[in-house]
Amino acid sequence: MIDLLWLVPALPLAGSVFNLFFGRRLGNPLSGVVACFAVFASFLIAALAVISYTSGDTSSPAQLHLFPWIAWDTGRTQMLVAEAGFMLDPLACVMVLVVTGVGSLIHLYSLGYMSHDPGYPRFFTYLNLFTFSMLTLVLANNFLLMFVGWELVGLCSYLLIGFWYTRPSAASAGQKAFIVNRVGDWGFLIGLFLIWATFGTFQFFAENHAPGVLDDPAGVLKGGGGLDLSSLFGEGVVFPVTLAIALLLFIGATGKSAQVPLYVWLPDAMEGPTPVSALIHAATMVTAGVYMVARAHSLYELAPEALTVVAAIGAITAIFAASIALVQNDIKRVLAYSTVSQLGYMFLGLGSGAYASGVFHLMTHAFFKALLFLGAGSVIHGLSDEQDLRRMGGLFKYMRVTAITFMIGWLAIIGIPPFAGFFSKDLILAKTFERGQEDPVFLLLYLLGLITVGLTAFYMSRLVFLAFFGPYRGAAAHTPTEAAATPEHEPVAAQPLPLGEAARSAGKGMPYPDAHGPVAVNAAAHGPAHAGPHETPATMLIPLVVLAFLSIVGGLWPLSGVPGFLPLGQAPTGVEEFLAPSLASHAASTTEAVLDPTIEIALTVASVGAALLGLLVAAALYLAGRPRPADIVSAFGTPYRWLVNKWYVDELYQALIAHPGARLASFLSAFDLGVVDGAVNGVARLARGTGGLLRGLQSGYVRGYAVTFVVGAFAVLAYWAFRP
Amino acid sequence: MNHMQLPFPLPVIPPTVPTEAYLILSGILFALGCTGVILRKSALTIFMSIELMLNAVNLSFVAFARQHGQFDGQIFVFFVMAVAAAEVAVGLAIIIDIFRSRRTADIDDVSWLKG
Repeated sequence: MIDLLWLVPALPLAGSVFNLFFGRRLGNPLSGVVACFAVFASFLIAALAVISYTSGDTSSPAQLHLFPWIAWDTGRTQMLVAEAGFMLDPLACVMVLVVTGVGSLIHLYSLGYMSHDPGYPRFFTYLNLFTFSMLTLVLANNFLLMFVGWELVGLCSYLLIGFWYTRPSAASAGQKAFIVNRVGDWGFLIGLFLIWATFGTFQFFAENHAPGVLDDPAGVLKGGGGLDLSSLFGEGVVFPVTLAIALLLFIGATGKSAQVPLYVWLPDAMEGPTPVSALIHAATMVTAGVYMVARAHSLYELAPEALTVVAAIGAITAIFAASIALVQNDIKRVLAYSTVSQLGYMFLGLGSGAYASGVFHLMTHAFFKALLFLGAGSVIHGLSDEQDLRRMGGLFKYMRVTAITFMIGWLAIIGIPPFAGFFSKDLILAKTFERGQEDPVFLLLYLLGLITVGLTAFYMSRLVFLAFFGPYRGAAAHTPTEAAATPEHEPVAAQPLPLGEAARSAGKGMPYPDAHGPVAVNAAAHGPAHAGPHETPATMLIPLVVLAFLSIVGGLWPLSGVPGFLPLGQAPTGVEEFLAPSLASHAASTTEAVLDPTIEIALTVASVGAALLGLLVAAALYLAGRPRPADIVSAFGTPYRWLVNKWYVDELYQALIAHPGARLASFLSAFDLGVVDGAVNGVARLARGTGGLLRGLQSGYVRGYAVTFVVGAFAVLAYWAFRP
Repeated sequence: MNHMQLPFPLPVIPPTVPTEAYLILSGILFALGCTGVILRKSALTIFMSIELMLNAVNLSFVAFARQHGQFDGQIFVFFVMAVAAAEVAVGLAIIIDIFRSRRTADIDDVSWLKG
């Protein structure tokens, strides 16, 4: 089966190319069906490959060498070699199944969601191209090919965020995402250069060699992971090259996986169609950074300080994004900040040395966050493009399937057992706490993580209660009095709309408002009979149900390897055992401190308790209305304003980076026009001026010329005659 | 210059007319031609004036050749005459063509090359 592995990325690529050329001719819905089949076939092949691989020996990866891509003799001891080759190991198994599986469901969902969009074939071209790119990223057997996939998913992200390119806010959001990602890619690329310079290879694994080659088989590194530069700069000079590589790679990860300080693009990326938000900006692409760090974990273990940085950034991102999510009113923005926050958890897990826990959370998060986004898309679809939570409410009775599946996702993300999020999040927190036994910094990070559990529970519960419970507050509310009788929520007009939302409401008049323009226009034209909340069609509900099922059972995986009930400390649990060939820690120190079971139980109780606390506070505010949210807002005016304005980070970046950048650009533009173009034009003007002066001599009168001859001849004669 | 050596000695002609006289005549002819070229407006007259200047030069060539007893100047005159003949052929053709198209041979009307 491993020989067919190349088909897994090739099929979506073929679908993309096919739709590029024939999509418009096939039209709607055939082009979408083609795309769906391409991804679904890819999923089947991937599943077969994974089954055949995991039924055998998984201690070393299965390699599929396609062709040598770069073979450049540099004239030094090592050749620059990179091959186009794919690889299946337990980590890649998890990733490839998540990408193709969730990808198939979202393709299916898009059939319905995008059905009225004029750009239908283009959408599926991009979506298939994205699937191909992401599969290249996760299946690549070396860093360089992975980087190719990494850049391609960035391109697809840009294309799909700006899918409705006639809307200025979408176009600029796409550019923002691309540019911020470039900052991260810069770090990744420099890291790659250093990897090659240090290790002389890009391969993740040596042939028939289980641990990564990056744990220095050639013995070039000193004990601390540094490169000995004594011969160049004098005795004792050691460049911490692995630390540099690890941090540079992590800069790449912060860009792609939306971590502090490069997270700013992800909330704006919600300008794209909702299936895109689900597939790219929640389930798969943004996890590429997590995957990359996990893939390079043997490098990180050579530089433990880098792991601490990873964990700290993760925890800070988690609580920071969660705090912003508390007060957002756009349903997709709440979910976007939630994604940033959950990605922070994954990095916290990775940084604690528990790589499997991070990857496990990546998987469960892909299930429940895709579910939540698709559910939000269903709500937006059902309400004819309403995204503001303050104009929703009571949707439970209008859209039962959406509501129930959404609530399963809600319980999963806030970590209520036995839903998926509980297990993965609890594993991360437990591992962080465990790591805290050796390094007190991690105890602080654990505390941040625990607070974030409470915040997550609050904002997700707020979202659910505002959207699905209480009276309907939409534009087509049955009676104005009923809508007016529910003053429990933040005043709609009294607070400043965040920039993106203002832009969005300005964009409503554009040809393609969010979701599907023609529908919105039609719905408005048909009057309230069609404009009221309604359930979405079956093609969109099936993925919701499947993902809901996965969100319930996806977390039970760790139990498969453990006799007890909860994944308490008796490592390795099922998921860790499975991922061990890819992610086993080579450093001896980390996993030794196994916690006392009672402490483990206490940790679990603490995190579930935090979640319940958040849930109850949200219920008190938004279900019971005691105390009223508006009172809370007026009591905490300043903190509320900071949160609503997202800590003014966008404004800060605008002032610190974007504005000086624009100033520099306009200066350079003036320099180009004035000095560079000026030099070129100046030469031309000089020639023209000289010509203008000299043309006066060309009178056109032959006799004038003759006089000149004569005078000249006499002058020459006189010179020769009278020269001294 | 590599002077030509004749296979036989030139007959020595007694200097009845001094070289200066030829040169003075040549200078007068050249000045006349030059004045004609500068002052006359008719293309044909200018042409004839040019011929006058050429022949003035020819005269001084021949005079010097005689004075020095060498052939060089005389041979050069043949070249000048040949080139002058070619020039006449081309120049007259141009003048005729101009006359056909513009109905005039006035040199001041032909100033297309004015810059």
